[in-house]
Amino acid sequence: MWWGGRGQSFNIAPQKEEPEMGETPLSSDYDFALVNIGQLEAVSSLSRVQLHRPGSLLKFIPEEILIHGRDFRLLRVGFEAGGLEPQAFQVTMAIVQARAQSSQNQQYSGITLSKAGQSSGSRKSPIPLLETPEDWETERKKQGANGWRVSLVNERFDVATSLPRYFWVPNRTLDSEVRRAFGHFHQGRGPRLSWHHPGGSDLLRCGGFYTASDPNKEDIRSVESMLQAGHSDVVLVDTMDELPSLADVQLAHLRLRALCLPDSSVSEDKWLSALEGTRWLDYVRSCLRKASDISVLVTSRVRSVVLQERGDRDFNGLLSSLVQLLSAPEARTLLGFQSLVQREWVVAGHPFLTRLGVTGVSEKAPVFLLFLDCVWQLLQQFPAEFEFSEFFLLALHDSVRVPDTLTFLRDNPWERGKQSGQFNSYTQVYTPGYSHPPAGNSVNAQLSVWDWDLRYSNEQILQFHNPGYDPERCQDSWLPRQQPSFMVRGPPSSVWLFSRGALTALNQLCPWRDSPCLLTVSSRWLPRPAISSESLADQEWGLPSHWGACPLPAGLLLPGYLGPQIRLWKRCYLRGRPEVQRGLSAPTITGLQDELSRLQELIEKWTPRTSPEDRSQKRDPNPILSQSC
Amino acid sequence: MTSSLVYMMLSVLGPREAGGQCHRSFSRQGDPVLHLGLPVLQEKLQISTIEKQATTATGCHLLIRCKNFQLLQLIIPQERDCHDVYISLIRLTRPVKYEELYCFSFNPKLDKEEREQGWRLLDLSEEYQRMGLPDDHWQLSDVNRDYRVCDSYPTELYVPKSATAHIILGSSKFRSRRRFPALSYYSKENHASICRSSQPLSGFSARCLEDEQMLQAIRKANPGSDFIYVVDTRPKLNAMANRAAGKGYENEDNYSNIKFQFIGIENIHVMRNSLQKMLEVCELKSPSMSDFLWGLENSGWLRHIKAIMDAGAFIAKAVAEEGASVLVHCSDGWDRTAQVCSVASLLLDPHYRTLKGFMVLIEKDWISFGHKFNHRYGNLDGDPKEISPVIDQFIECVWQLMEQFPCAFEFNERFLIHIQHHIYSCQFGNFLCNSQKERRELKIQERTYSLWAHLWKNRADYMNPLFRADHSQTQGILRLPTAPCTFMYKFWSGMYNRFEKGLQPRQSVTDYLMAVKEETQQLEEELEALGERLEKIQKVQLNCSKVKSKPTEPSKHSGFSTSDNSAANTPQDYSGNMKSFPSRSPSQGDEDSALILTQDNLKSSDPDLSANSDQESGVEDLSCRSPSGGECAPSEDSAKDRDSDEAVFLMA
Repeated sequence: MWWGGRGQSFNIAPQKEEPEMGETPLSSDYDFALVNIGQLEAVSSLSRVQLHRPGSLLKFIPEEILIHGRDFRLLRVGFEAGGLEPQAFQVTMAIVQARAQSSQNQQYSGITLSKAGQSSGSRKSPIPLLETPEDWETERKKQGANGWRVSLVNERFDVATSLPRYFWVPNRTLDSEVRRAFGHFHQGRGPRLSWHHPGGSDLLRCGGFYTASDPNKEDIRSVESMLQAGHSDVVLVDTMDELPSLADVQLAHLRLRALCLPDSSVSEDKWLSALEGTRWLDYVRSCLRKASDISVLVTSRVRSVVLQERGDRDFNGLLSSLVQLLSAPEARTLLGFQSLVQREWVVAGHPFLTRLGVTGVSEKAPVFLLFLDCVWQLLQQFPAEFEFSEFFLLALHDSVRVPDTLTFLRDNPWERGKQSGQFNSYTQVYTPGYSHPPAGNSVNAQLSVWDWDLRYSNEQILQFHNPGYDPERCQDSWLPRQQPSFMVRGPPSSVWLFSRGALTALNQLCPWRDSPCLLTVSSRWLPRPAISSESLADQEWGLPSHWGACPLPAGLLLPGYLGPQIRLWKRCYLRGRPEVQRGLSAPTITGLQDELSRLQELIEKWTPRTSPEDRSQKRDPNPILSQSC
Repeated sequence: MTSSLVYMMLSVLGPREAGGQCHRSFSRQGDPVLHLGLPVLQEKLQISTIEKQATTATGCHLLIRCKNFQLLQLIIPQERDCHDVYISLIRLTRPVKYEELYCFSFNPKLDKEEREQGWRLLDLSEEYQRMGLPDDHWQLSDVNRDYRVCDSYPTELYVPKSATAHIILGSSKFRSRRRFPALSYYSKENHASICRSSQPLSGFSARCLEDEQMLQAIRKANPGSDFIYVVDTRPKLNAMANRAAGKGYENEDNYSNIKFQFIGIENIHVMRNSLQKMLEVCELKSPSMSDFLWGLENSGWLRHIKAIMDAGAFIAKAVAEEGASVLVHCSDGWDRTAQVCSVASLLLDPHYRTLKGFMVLIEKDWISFGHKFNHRYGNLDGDPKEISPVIDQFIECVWQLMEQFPCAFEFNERFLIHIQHHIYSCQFGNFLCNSQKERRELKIQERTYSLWAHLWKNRADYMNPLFRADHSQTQGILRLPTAPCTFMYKFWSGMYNRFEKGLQPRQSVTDYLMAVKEETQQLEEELEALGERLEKIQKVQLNCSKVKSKPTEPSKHSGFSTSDNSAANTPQDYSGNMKSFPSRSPSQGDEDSALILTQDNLKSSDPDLSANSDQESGVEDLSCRSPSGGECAPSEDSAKDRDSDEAVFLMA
């Protein structure tokens, strides 16, 4: 039997059917999670059959099985003629059955951790998992969000199960107010701080107003003050405006996958229009565009910017993370990015399982993968600004279906905690700050997808670093504007709705009957009418921002989102097509590694050696080279 | 009028919306740049078309499209002025005599010797020698001495040994414009060759014994194969249509042992329209995803590029894998044939993927074999139907290959862009005229300068930092995938959008690597110099100590120094000197290329600037500069840096 991927293949002697797994990291090129199997085909010289269910009959002995991964990989398992035919049949049917079983157990009850995972009993998570108030407090301090505090109101998930146990609310707001105010938002997801810009602005996210509710004046006041977050200028951003719906994203992703199959029937001349027809790149484009606009809103003046999406669990996370990547150099580091994903996606309750998993079809939408694509685009456009590499994004991309940790296999922190037995007893006696040891048989809750060393070799982890990253450049340019973040009492002086690329003044902040009308409030700042082709950055900093005539605020990246600037992530989506990968000079992940190590070698070789005179000016060691993972 | 116009034009060389600047510079006072005149305007703007647009409140709009894909919009307040400008621009940018072109007035202040040296940089006879010629099968023919047989061919041509002058003459009479089969590339390993010619005048039934003998001779010159491929790069329909005009293609029945093959590359008119369509997409102010992708697909441009690549790959495969010789022709054998032969050579021979090899390739397959540069790129006012982006397509093919094989080419994208730029700029004499004969008559080599010398001098700017001579990719034939995969071919933003700053990436890994590499070189040289100085000092000290006869001290000294030295020799982990992306980021690099001529002018009119950089103070100079070396790297500075590098090297 031989195994191969991407057109390359190697033989495994028949008697040695189980390849040595000893030190091999789990995510080798040939590891395939069962849920990752998108399509299974048995091929013989005569026919080609797709296998769906264990019941589906295989009427011939296959010469080859093609496994199309949902992550765009293609695994080819070939059987040599000569004595192996029965095994070929058995192997094929075993895969079919295993896959069927895994999709029946929708809840992943039988998660089996690798040896590596179980042996490491208690280990420290590489990044704060934000499961304790301390983590939140540390992060709050790091951001310098002085007007905010960690609220424990949802510690028992009784405000909303989809919310994190802890979140940040304005200092002056009492927990009781929070509880009441949150009730007037869709699924109880009220306004919380996402990120505090060092310049003073706050980026908030919340669910849609629960219009059916009839809040009293008190409640409206606390809702408003939470949205206002002490600023006199409030911008509500309708997140869904000009962005694709969940169904759109799912359809685009399916189409993209079909297009990228090696045997896609698209004719050569029609490739570009077929690519356009998937709409995927267009959705990437609109996400980048919107994120770029929002980062301009956050950076250009001190205000409260509220991302509002009905569910608050998909595009709010996507935009909030992109905005932070664009405006905060910290988020572009390897650790910073992982914390960002942990905070804005995992803990914030992005329904990973529903969106990516196999539960039901209706709500599926790979919003997270769309996000990764956006990040890749940024990486392409600003190769010196990111500490992580394309390889890391690929690893993350492939991790969403690996059933090793619960990070991406639950819909919200409550379920994640329930599974891991983290708070078995929270219904009985509540002890603040006390965390239960993980129950015997279950998955170690402290293990997360961020424990890369469980699944990747040290060498691979080294490849997560982008050799072109230049941290000094970022640190130098990162000069936070130390504006006093004054807390404004009373109603905001200007309230805007950001929609269709322009700001429009709002009469009132909340839609309810009793909400105070703001018409009388004179606005400090009137945006001039936007010219259609103008971006928000152009309006803000003069025409045209991309000339570099006027310096952008320090640390802010403005991505390009014109048609020619959005590229197809070939290394990810066209992995199944060997001819493409050859072009990228990295046929496999191993090849990619080689390439990266070569680049790093070059960097190492070319990194200036300090001459004896210069040695006195010795600075920090280069993190790329000195990191010894 | 003219001069203020020029001044205005220069002032708007920047971004396209800079209409405001026009007002300022349009005051007809002073005429400070009177001497610039036409040629500079020509080479700076490379105006392709000028379009007068509707008058608006702000004034009259002139849209100028340039051959280097720049788009300028002038807003002139007065309608009358606008018309004047329009008329004078039209007149100015259509020179009718070669002497009006910039290269005849361009003077980089090099002496005669240097100029001649520049022209001698490339030598085609050397190139043929490198291929292993002449040998048992091929010989240099003097049949085209004084261009007696074919006036668009060079005088130096290689033909099979068995092809007598009689055969060649006979064959030439049977070929369009007498362009008989001659050698373009020879593989000395397996004796397979690529020959090129024009179409045969076969009509529906005509035959020519000598032409048949000529093809036989080519086949016999390759003992390894009993047939040759005859590749007609036209679509079959076009070739058939030519038969009615008494031209056409080889009949397999008449020629023994040939395998005839059509490869459908469209003609120059289709290509011109295709480029036009693609440029329309590039001109969109804010193209959406579908504008861009649909527009690109509808232009068909990438499909045409792929057709050329496929043809090249077919020939390279025939030569390298089947060991068969190939005769390539299209209609006249100077457009598609040049494209296909040079792509095939590039795929076959790593030599052509080096800086110098690539220049030789263009010299051989394009310049010497009579590609009609003047007609195709409209250097002189001529028939607009003759204009077509033929060599642009070849240059793009090279770029597409570079994207697919990032380590295989010694040169980088900038090199290609600068070559393209100078094909249109007429600053150098290389690409003037339509044939070698015309160039000799005009005495180009005595009156103008060679681009190749200029590029070679600045070669440090054109190096691909990823090039690895020992990489498997860089050796032998480059294999293109056979499977259908249009998605391998990308839109070349760096070329067609090179003046759209907003579309350019703001950071490029290549530039970063180049900067780091350059800096490392400097530092290493510095280190070396210092090491030697140290040695000297040690010697002196040793001598001193011997005189003083204090044995302990010198050993302490030397011990300390050596350890110091070795520490400095280990690869350092300091990020301290890792530079942020230098200012030569693509956007600026492109501005660089837009304004490259300014710099060229500066350099050329002021050669002292770079030439007399203080050789004495090289070391000190460097140590001052090294901390910021990466930050300032426009070509001038880097040229200076190099000079001082050399100075250090000399000292060391």
